[in-house]
Amino acid sequence: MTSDELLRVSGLTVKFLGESGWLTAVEDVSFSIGKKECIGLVGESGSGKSVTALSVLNLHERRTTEISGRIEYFGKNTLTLPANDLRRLRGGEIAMIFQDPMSSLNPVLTVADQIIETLQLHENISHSKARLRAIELLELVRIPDAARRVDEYPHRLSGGMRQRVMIAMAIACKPKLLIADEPTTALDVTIQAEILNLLRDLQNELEMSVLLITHDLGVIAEFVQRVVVMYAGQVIEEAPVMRLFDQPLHPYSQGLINAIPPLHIDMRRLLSIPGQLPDSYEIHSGCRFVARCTERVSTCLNSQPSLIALQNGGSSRCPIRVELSGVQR
Amino acid sequence: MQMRFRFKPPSLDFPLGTDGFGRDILSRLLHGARLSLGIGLSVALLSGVMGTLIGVASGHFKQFDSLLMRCMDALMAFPAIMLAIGITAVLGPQTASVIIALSVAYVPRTARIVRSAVLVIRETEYIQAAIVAGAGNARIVFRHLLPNSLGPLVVQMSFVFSYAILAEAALSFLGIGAPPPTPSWGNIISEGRDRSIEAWWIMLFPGIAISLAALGMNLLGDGLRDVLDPRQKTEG
Repeated sequence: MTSDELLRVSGLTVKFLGESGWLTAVEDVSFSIGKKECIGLVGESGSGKSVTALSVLNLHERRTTEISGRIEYFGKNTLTLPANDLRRLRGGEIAMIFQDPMSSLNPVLTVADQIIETLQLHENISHSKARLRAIELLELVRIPDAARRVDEYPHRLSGGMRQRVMIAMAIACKPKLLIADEPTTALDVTIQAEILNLLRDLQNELEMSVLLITHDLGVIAEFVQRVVVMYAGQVIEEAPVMRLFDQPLHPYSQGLINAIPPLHIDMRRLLSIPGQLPDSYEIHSGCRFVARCTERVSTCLNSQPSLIALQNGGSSRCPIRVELSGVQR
Repeated sequence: MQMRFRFKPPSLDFPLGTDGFGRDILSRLLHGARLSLGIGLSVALLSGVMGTLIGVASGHFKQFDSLLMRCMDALMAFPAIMLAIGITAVLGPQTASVIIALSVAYVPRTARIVRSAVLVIRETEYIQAAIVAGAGNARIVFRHLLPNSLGPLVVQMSFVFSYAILAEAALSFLGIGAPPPTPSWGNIISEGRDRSIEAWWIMLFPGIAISLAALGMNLLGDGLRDVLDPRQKTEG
């Protein structure tokens, strides 16, 4: 690991025990997150984004999961960390927020109870002080009338409010890395923008790194500096965000960008990528995207492409696009 | 208790009549309520606690799941009353052994209900969120899993209460409950069995008491279920 790296995932492979044997959900995924950097992890449902994120905090059920590779956080491999150290890491150094704010708060505890719980898990802090901190945190995530709202039960809050509470809980112990697993997917568009703005402000203020998982390239364009695109459990492209939009070096990335509906043209039909993700049990002889690719050539069918590192940073798994683009390897 | 008042029908002196020893049925009934309801409550609490332990153990710590649940299946294969008769027969006819026997007999249902509640709750995002926040097993069980599975547990306990009152009466009636002359409701009925035609009041009134107590607990259970059912209060 270099000194400005916070987290490095290398060669991560995750297999789950399914009904018909082991299936590979994530294969040989590598990327790193720098200090104060925002990384986007993009891909359609089932591409392995969430599995990758859950691996960072070692949250998989041990008996039915096989994980190999390394996930280094400040030189420690979170995949082999003892349970106690792992608990200290979770919520303290690395925090996570989830997709559905409706179900990610405990319905029988008040907002205050839940924030205080998180604080007391990681800091030696009295109940009354923790309560004051909880109110400060709610103010920080811009919940109006925080002193009163802190004693509400979750069911009295709207979805946007609950997501703010989740964010308040996540940043309670000033984590160095925030993993946001589709934080805005369950919210409507205006609330989405507010939550994203809030996240960006907090990221600057607390100098955190953020791993943002999403399938929404609009969110990516606004929020992150670097994008990792996943398809069928593999990284298929990694690029600085501007390069990805200007010159996507994988047909799948191109497809995702094309699928963003343009504002100024009246479209009868929205563009999509035809076909669907291959079955996780399938054994691939060629490129995993080949069945849906419009630019395939015969070699795509019988040789598995490896990730090509590019000279100006980033990488791609499509040799044809890289060749055509003239980007230096 | 006076022999000259044997088998008196209900009157102003003895509102519910007297039994074969000249004892007032009303006072025996009231006294018996202590025992019958006490046994019902003890069984509900004891099987509730044991069922919760087993249910949480098998729902949350999955390595115990199949072992514990197969044991519960084995217990459940016996009709509750048969199992209770067997256990009381082994432990001897005392109040304590009735409580233990009935508790064991009703544990499997409670354990299954707690387990199923735990299985649903542990997959919710707030449990995941608690793990991500760094909570350990104890905290997750006591602060997150148990309070959220309390609803079905309390409902089940109120039903066990009423089953236990009925089963205790049945055991006493069969002569393997609390030993006479202890006035449990089942005992009073059992004692009136031989003269049920002439002295109908001996069996009728404790029978009514048992029915009312069981009905009351069932209604309480139904009411609690309506109040506590999570599906009805998700969007409060």
